[in-house]
Amino acid sequence: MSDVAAAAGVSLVTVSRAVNSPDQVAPATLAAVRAAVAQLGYLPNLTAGSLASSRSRIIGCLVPTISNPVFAETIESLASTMGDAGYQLLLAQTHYRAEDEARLVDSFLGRRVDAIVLTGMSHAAGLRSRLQRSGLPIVETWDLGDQPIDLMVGFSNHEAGRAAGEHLLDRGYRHLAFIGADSDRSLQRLEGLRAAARARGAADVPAELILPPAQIEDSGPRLAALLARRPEIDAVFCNNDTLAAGLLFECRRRGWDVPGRIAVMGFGDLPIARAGFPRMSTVQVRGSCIGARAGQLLLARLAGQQQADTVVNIGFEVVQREST
Amino acid sequence: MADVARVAGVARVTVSRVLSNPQSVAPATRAAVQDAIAKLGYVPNLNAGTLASSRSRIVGCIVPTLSNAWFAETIDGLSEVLAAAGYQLLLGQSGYGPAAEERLVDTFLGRRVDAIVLTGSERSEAVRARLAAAGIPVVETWDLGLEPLDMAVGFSNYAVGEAAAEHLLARGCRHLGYIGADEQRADKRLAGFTATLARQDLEPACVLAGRPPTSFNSGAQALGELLERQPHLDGVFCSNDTLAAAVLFECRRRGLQVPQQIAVVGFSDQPLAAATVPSLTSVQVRSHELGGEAGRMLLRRLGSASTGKALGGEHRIADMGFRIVARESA
Repeated sequence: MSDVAAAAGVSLVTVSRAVNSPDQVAPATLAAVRAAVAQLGYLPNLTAGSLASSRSRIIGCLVPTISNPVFAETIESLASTMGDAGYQLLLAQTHYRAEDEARLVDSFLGRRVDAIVLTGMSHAAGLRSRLQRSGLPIVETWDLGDQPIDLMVGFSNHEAGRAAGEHLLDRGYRHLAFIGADSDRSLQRLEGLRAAARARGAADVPAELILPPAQIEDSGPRLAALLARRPEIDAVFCNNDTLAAGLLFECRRRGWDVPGRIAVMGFGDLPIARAGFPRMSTVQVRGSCIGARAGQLLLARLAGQQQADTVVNIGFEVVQREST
Repeated sequence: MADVARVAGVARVTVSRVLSNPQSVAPATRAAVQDAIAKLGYVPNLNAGTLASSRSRIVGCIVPTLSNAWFAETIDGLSEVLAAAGYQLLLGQSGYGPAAEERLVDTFLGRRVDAIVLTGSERSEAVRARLAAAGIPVVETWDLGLEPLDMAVGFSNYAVGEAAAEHLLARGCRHLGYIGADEQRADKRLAGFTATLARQDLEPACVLAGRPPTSFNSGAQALGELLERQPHLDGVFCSNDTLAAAVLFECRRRGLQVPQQIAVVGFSDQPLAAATVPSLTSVQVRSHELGGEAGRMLLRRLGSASTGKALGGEHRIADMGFRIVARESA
């Protein structure tokens, strides 16, 4: 910075002011400083600024894995909402492990992020109080509950599972099954599915649970395992569209008619749901909407506004296509 | 920190010493300070350490978009390696635009990141100059240009196009088509594809499926256009697996047999490629390992910077190569 001051023929404090609050500097002086900045390729140290103003303009964001396209959508929309307001995203992956989440949150706190975005609402013991004590805006995403740490943007995974079950039962299927990840939100969807089956007096619902992340190639073997237990299965609800797409391909490989021999339902409404053959019925959840809403809530909170609604339910929608 | 010192009944400098060099403090004092830290929920400010040590332990990473699965995989691989070494990832998306990349690079440099990971090998003179002046390690990924800014990890996109053409020619295809995203690295694959066909006096029909990220929809439409231009079409190379899967689905809709009537080759070998029916022949580029290798190159450089050792030239460029995974579609 002193090089810039020397080149522009002004004092250090003038350079600082030209960088931080250009309105307070006379136009001619501002132009001289800017010319010197351009000439020397000087970049203001935003880290130093963050110590003085105690604002880092960095948002810490934790997702289980960005290889899952639904989380990629959420991050993309969160990043662009925050980016437009001059914030950057520090990104880390928990790989579905609560203890990793806790460790990463601590390092975010240590880096003095301005806010933290988490995935889900079940956390390691002690994390909740640590985050509340930090006083930072916190958004939990992809789930819905009445006791947010601070803010929450998502939908009820239990209700979404129940809606999928009701759709399948309405279409006349009686022997439902589930393929999904052995993780918190997936299990909530399974519980919702089971609740729907119980309420209608349908057969109890067998489940195949996969250690996350569940991959497209998992569906075939899991279908075989389900059929070995229950040959009468006539509909499968998958925890995500990727698994459901794998299941549709497996049925094609077996020469099975979908939905004649078996109905397949996905979750998420990723592009593949509309592109495949037959087109997939699914539960639409807009991951990009979660990211954008989370960003808007954070920006309002960071601007000092108090929100009336700290829990935002973005909902979901059952989309019927050809596979059910 | 002052609160911690007060509760523990020690000087601030003692608290600081417990945090940065606990062995130098008597065990009883150390225990008192650690109790006070736990009781107050004190979190040390890593940024303050940054200014003193001039290390932020943050790596900036710019990708075109996260909605393309292969960049997500690269970041996954990169973040695993960096996280294990105590580094964190500041993420930026350029939307395939050089101006957005330039802005992000400036922001990252302003935040004093320790290193930067970029996508691709083509960039403006302004960005090259700024990064060179910053003097921090830079890794360019997903392509190998003639002159990397600093370090590069990737493969030759041109050679990928050549290999795809050779694979289709070896199957006996003569009426070839190309469907690709309108983007630099895809263009290089097309150039290699076209040059190889030209050596057999063949010329592919080409349809660009728009700016990336491309969709299943645009792939289906592009196949329609390709068939209008080349009614005898017997082989298609697609610049990504999403487009190639869309071509498979559209062939099924049109009652065209794959590979008997039309052979299809994708690119990047996503999990989807092995799952489709028929399964998709694709060019495997190991996006996850590519990110991991970029991370290891940075760590070697960041480690050697502190010991004053320069990195040998042979470690500056990592050609990860590629291979054609032949499945049912070609």
